[in-house]
Amino acid sequence: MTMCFTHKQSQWTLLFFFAALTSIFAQENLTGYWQPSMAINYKVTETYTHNFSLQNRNYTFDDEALGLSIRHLDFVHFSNLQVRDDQSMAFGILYRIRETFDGGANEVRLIQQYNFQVKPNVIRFGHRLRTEQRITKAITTHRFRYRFSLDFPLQGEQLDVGEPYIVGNFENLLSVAKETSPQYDTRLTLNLGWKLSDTTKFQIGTEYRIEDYAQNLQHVLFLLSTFNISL
Amino acid sequence: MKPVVLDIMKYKILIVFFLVSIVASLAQTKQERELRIAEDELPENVLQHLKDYITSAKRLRFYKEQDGTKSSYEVKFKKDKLHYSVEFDENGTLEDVEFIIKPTDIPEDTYLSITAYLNKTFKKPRVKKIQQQYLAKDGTHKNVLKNAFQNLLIQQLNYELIISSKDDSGFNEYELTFNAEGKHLLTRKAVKSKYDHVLYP
Repeated sequence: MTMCFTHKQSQWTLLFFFAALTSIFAQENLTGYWQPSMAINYKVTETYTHNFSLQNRNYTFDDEALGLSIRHLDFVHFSNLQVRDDQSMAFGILYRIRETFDGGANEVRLIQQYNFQVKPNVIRFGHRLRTEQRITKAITTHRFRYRFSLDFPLQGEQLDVGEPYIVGNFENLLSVAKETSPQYDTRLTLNLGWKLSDTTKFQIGTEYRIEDYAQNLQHVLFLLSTFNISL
Repeated sequence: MKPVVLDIMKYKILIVFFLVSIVASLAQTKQERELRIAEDELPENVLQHLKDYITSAKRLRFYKEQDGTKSSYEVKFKKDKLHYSVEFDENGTLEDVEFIIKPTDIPEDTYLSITAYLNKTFKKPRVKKIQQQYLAKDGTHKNVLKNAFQNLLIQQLNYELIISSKDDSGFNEYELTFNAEGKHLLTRKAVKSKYDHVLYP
């Protein structure tokens, strides 16, 4: 019976993935990426933590052609300060190497974020407000983001070692820059994760982005995989 | 044609390797865990005890907790707008009944005594959850269940609080038990759950 229950849940998840995929592949202006990443988190003091991550984005589907080529490589660092048991503030810096791979511009990104989480019962809800300055040689773009997340374990009410969990995100973004029209994006993410040990987690998932929907609509589909270490 | 076939083979091997390593790491489960189970996996007498109380219950769920060789069972449900949790030992013997309440549900004097203890003992305590608790050792099973489901303010009941507080080891959660008069009985430190996998994409 337990098997049936988890089986039923996985069936729903699969159905969601396929429904999302079919509706997306029916669209034009579609780009598909595979984005693996690896992150390490560790404590500096009891309320101050560091996060370092490395991620790369690969084209898998572009201009109606399938293939695999590197788009860019990101080095990311976050300094996170927990201000209350359910609230934190973080400052981050990202360096994107793109010129070497597809000729696009390299980028330095400064990130500021505030995070608030609430767990009334089994599901944990998170709200994240983020501001970013994306600096390239040609232009600086200011980006404002709000993300709503939820995560919950799939077996029981607490996440034990070896158990799977779900993380869902819904995010809205506004990008503004000098002499350009504002860009509005929406992102929907669904990740399936496993707590492999007390310090490691692995996630696979998909993200669907509706980019610049007010001007020049683009659909972007991501296949995500993340390995997360928390010391 | 040949190199393409080889490439596909290579990918297949990689995928198999990848899946095997996931399964291998999943197999290394630790001894302490909590699982959602089906009704028929409960000890026989559990539902017998509860049959009069769960007829109109919503969100009825069953859990098994395993800690080393010891296991226990928990039945959770919502009834008359209250979230109940009834715990049984591995033989299906009742251990306690708990339901979530608000500070205003506790008699004023008792709550004042509880908050006085919290403010004296912890730095900036924040109450996250309160449960009213009826222990099985304080009467026959039938009586304990009756008292609990009638929400009776009896002398034997306890209040269980989850609080968060900041101390030398950062923000921590504690589980505290007080008696019906607000006298402190027990404090346990709860395990913190890591949120890193959600915080940074």
